[in-house]
Amino acid sequence: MVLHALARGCLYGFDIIEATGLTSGTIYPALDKLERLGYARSEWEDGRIAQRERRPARRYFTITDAGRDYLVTAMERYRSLAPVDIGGTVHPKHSPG
Amino acid sequence: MTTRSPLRYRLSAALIRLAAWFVPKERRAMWRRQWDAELTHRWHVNRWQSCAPVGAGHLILWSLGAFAHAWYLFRTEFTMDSIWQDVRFAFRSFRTGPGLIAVAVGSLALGIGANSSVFSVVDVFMLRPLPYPEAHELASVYSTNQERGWTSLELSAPDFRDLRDRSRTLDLAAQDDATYNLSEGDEPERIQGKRVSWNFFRVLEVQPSLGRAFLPEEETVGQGNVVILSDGLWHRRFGADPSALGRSVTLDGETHSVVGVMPPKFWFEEPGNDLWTPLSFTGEQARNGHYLETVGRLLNGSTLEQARAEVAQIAEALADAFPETSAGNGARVLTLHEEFFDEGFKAGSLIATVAVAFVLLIACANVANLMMARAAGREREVALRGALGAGRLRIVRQLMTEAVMVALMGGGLGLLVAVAGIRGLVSIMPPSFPRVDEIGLDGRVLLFTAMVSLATGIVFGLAPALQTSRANLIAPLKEGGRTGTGARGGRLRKALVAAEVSLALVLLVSSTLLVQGFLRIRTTDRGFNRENVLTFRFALPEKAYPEDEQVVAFQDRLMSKVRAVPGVVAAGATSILPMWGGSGTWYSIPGEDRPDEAGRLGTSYRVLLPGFFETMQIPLVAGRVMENEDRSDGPAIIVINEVMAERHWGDTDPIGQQIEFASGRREIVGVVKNTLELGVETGVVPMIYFSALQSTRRSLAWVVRTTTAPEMIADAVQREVAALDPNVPVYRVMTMDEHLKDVTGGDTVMAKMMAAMAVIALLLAVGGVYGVMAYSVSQRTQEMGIRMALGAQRKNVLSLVVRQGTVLALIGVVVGTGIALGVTRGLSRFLFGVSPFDPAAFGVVAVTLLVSGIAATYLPARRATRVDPVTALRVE
Repeated sequence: MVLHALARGCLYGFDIIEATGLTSGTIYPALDKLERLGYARSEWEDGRIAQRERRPARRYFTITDAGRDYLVTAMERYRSLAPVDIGGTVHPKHSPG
Repeated sequence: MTTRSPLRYRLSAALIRLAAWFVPKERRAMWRRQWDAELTHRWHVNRWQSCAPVGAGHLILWSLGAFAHAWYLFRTEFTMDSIWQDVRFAFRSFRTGPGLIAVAVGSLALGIGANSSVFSVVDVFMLRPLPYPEAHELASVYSTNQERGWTSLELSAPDFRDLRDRSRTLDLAAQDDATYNLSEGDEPERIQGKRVSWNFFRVLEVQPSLGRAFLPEEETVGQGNVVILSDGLWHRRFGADPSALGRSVTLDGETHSVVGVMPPKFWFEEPGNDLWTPLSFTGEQARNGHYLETVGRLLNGSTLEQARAEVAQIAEALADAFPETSAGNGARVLTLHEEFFDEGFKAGSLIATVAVAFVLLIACANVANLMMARAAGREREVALRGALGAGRLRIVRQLMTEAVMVALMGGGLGLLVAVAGIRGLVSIMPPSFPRVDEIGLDGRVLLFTAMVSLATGIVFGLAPALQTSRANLIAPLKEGGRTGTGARGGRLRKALVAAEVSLALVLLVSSTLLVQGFLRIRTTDRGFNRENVLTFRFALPEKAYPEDEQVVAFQDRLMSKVRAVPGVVAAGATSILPMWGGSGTWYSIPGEDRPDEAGRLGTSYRVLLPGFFETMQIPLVAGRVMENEDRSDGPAIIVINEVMAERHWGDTDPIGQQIEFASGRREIVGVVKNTLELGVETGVVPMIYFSALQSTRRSLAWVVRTTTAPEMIADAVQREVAALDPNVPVYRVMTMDEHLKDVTGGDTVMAKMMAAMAVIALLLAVGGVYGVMAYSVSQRTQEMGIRMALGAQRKNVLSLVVRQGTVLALIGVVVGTGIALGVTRGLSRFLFGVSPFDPAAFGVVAVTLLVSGIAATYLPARRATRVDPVTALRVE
């Protein structure tokens, strides 16, 4: 989900929290892990911009090519999952007949 | 508007600052920047957006995520990758001082190896449960009698049967020693066996692997001619043939049918038992004949306390019911583990454990010193790494990794030491020690070694690591700068050396005392001459020799043949060899008024064939010894020892006096010198010697004095026995010296083991003193140079360094003496009369350590005097 958010253009932790609804305790370690795996890279915002906006420079994350490939594979795997009945209730869309 | 309160912001910022503590130092600054930027951004979003997507109340929750993030980074520091990196770095760094690392690994190998060896023994003796199902439910019952001083006397047959029938808390079984002549197949063999009650195997919950256990009716006289074989005997005599079941074997001339074979390695109480036969209860056995050992299993979830209460109650009822034999008798219940591994084992294990722990501590102190010396030499490197951003945790981790690597290498090498150590320990244990065959290098010992190695690494690694990482980062980087840990590190190193010396002193004093005790056992004059004596034993089966006359005739014939063997100068026989155990009898002196049974006198006795005193060279003090002419048709005679004579007759002549026994009165014809028949620690006891020509014994231990090495005639005497009766097996053929070593082996285990520990401790401690002094001299090269440049003589420098080493050794000796005075008291059980505060032992050890310590400082001191002032000053 975090990779997906990065691919959609989210740039920093706060952005991704809003996009995914995940907690900060999940997002920040996940970003570091993605960077360690080579699926994301991070760089510090140009200090001049931050200074102009009177706030500290932010750490921006972007998805790498390897990250994109991995995301594609992961999404295909996700799509290939068959619909499933949960707790005996059958969604009308999937009911036979 | 509480949602916009700056308090929320400040609280969140504080949480982030707190979480930052967990972040590795080199990443901490960046991490703080990232979180501060996010916090600021989030704060502004909340303030400016009227419908904030995440409420400001959630700001706190959001900042708690900082802890998860910090923890994640902390954890990733310790990934296998980073640990592996540290390990590789550690090995690279070892290349710079391989000698020092080798000494450290060697010290640890000795310490850890000694610990693993001792653990392998203590584990088997004290920690592992006995090899029976639910072994904690097993217990033993003994008779007690406070007035008579019985603390653990075997049960009589009637007492056992009453206890077994009445007890609701214990399923009680009994056993009695029995040795048999097994004459099945080609060769007769003396077999160690046990007679056991029918429920013996049920109580132990170990069933025969082949056939069945005994049946209740087999306890009845005439129905007990059945036998269960040990797995060893089954293999040895029957080639592990299952058809052995139902076959007949002849034990002491009587036919027994094989009904079962016990599983391999089954043992009870002592290793080496070959067969079991059922106990027979006639109903006429005496209630005061105590000979049955017991084992019981707690029934129906009863506790040991309940069993103790019930057994005491039953014993009291029996004492009331049979006052003439059992007045004052009680009962005592021990767990089976306490029964097998008594106080001696417990104390021995504890002492050994403490001793090896000391050895390991000395090794740790040694290695800590070496590592500190090494770390001090690396202060520039550490300071440089600190300056480049490595956090203190990171540096400590690297140094700890190095320490643990050294410890693990020491542990690995220690395993080799342990293999040798275990072999050595097993070799000094007498065959009577139980479970010795289980002692070895198994998974538990390996695990123990690994744990000890790791713990050791942490113990000796932590102090140097912390000290080095705390050091001043700037000073070492300056050219020629003095190091920051010098004074503090020096003090710690010296304290460690003094501690080493004191621990070594405790070990050395303990082992000196134990060795003194050991020598006392070995060299005390026992009152007889153990040299050049061959002993052997045989028993004439009742079936083949039912009459006393036949037994005596056999012994007469053999005696004349043995005496005729070339090289034999004297021969005799005794019912029990010295140190082999006791046998007691009640007696009274006619005319002395001791009406009730409780007031009866007891004494040890031996039954001898004439020639015993001459063979053992026990001098006659008065009268005469028993002669070949003292037969059953003549007057019944006895010989007593000096203590017995003093006990009743003081200065008057006991010759011609009479003593009353259950079998009748006997006349004293002679008094012989006292001997230590029961052991050095027991001392001399009153002793009565009967003649085997008047009180016939089918089983006797023969003693033969030779002019040559006694082993040379062993074959000849065995041939003489076989010539008289080929079905009589001769056993325990050995010299008297071997016999004494065999029976006192258990008493000397501690001395031998502690002597080994002490030698290791001395080596390590002296090595420690040497290491510190050598390092200290190398650090002070410049100072020495300046001193000498300013006019100090070589001898001044020499005495300066030696004095420093002497002071350390002296402090160690004084502190160690204090500790040893408190410790040696606990050894008294193993000292056999040597005082635990023996001033000679303390003095010799103190002087040895001082001299060794001074000697260890002498070499570095000499090196100090060779410092060339010009070279030393050039560095300044």
